[in-house]
Formats: sequence, structure tokens, C-alpha cells
Amino acid sequence: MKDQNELLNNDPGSLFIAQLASMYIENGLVNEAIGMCVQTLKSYPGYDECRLVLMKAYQMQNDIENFSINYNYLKGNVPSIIPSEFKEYYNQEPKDVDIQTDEVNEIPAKLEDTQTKTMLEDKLEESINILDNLQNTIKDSMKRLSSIIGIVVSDDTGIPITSSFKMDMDIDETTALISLTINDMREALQIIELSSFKKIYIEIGKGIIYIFPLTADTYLTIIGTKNTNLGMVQLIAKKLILEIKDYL
Amino acid sequence: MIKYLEKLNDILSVKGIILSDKDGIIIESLMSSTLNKELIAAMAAKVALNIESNISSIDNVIASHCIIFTDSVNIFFSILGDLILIIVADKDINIGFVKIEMNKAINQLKEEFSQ
Repeated sequence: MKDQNELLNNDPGSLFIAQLASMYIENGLVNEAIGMCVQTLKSYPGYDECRLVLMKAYQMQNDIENFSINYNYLKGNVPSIIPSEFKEYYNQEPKDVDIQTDEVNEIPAKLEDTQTKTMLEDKLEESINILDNLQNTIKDSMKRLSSIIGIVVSDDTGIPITSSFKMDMDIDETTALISLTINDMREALQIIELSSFKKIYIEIGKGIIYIFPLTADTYLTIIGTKNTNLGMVQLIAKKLILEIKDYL
Repeated sequence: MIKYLEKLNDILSVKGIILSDKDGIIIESLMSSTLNKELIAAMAAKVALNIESNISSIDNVIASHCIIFTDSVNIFFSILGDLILIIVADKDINIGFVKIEMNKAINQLKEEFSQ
């Protein structure tokens, strides 16, 4: 709940993410809903409404593994909000696994539950570490270039994945504008029947923006001043892309 | 006006130059490549509009630049007021040099158009 309040304080519009993800699910865009919720929960793990929507999506995909990770998270933090539908699904699934895997398995059910929990907790911790590493990688790169204002990793719907800025900037607005630019550029390239871009460099007034594709729908954006050495930006971007691609 | 464009066109690896207005209407062009100049001008106008509306309001004094790196070519845009200067070049072109020359040319062209 603390994260949810923090999210509301930082950006009231962000609370619509859960609703938007629900709408995605209703319209059959389950993968898109999962992507949106996962990204949001990376920054705000306590956004419970979003986690419930994510669990709904995993349930629809019958992805018990990811469902269980989130189920256990809620069970450990806010068990009262777990709907009975999820409880039934969670309790029903392991039974099926038991039947399929080994009927003569004599490990007591409680011990198995504990092992599963530990595994899931380890997985969750691993994910948190990955995010921390990603954030640290970006911060390290920022230190190397004094003229860089900020580095953002976002997806093509404008949702920030991770970012670091040297000054106060509205991250959501920045990533939204970046995604608009990218989508417009893609459209523009289609006009002249060229394949997608490898990178985009934009120089306006005293600032520069360098956009590099990471995966099909994620981008690394480096924002700097006009004094930023382009060659150095490219070198740092190259290194960052290699490291970030591993995480993504 | 054409002399500025010819100077840019002489740069090694440059495939073509287009000068257009912000509606994508070609003012002058020197295109040797097979790329369709009308389409490129239309694309440049779209990019200029994008920069203007999404990122910043175009400054009439300082030119905005944009470079799109693709698998086959690099496309350079300089946007100053109502003018858009476009260079289509090979991937191996010296980017820094093109930027300097484009900046010079767009300012000279702006000056000439304002007279």
C-alpha cells in the first residue's frame, strides 16, 4: 500500500495502469497487459491492484509459475485482498502437478510447499537484484559523462522501465514523448519503404536526444546537452546496450 | 542557392540533397540515388512536425538537427524555420563533417531566402 500511495503522490495518472491493463485483458490483449503490469510492478511492487490484474492475466494463460510468484507475494503482504477465485486456482494447480509428476512421491505436502515458497522467494529476489543492477549500470554511465542529463529505458508504449536523471524531470512525460517520437519516425521510415532505424539522433536548441533500440519494443534514450561528445555517447550506449539486453 | 546544395552533394558518400518547405514541398533537389525525393521530402516534413509538436517548439534562430541511422542509409535533416534541408548518405559517411556543412548551408540558405 505504501508504494501505491507513493505512486499516487508521484503521478496520479499512473493508477490507471491497472484499469488500462484490465481493459487490455477484456479485449484479448493479455500479453500487453502482462507487459504493462510487470513494468509497473518493477517500480512499484506494492501496487496491489496492478498485481491482481497481472495474476488474472497469468491465470488466463494458465501460467501457474508466474501466478504463484505473485500469489505468494500477496499472501505474505496483504493476504486479505486475495480473491477466493485465485485461492482456488492456486490450491487446485499443485494437485494436478502432483498427479502428473509422481504419484508415489512421499515428500510431505508442507515440506514441498516450503521448498516452492523458498524457490519463488529466491526468484523474486533475483528479479529485484536484476532491477537494482540495471539501475546501477545506468547510474555508472551517467557519472562518466558530465554533460548527460538523463538516461531512460522505456518501451514503445511510453512506459518507463528504468531511468536516472541529474535534474528534476517528469519521467512519464519524457518517456511518452520519446515513444511518440519513435512511433512517428517508424511511420515516416515506412513512407520511404526503409526498414526500421538503428538509432536516432535529435539536436534541438541546447539539448540532444539519442535513441537506441534495445529489443523490438524497448528503447534506450540518452538525453544530454549540446556539449555532449557524440562519440562518447555512442560508446557508452554500446556498452549499456550489451548489459541491458542481458537483463531484458 | 544551388551552389550551397552542390557543395553538400560533393561530399563523399552523399547520395542526394533535398531542400523542402515544412509541408514537404520540394524547393530544390540534387538526387542521384534511386530513392524517391518526393517521399523523402514528405518524410522529412513529418519528422519536422514531430520534433516541433512532440519535443520542442522550433526555434527560428537555431537549427534543429535529426539523423536517422538505418541499415542501408543515413538520413540527415536540418530544420530552420520553414526550411528543411535533407541529405541522404551512405552509412560510412563522416557524420561530424556533414553536420558542420549542413549547419553552414542551412544558415546561408535561410539568409538568402530572407533577402
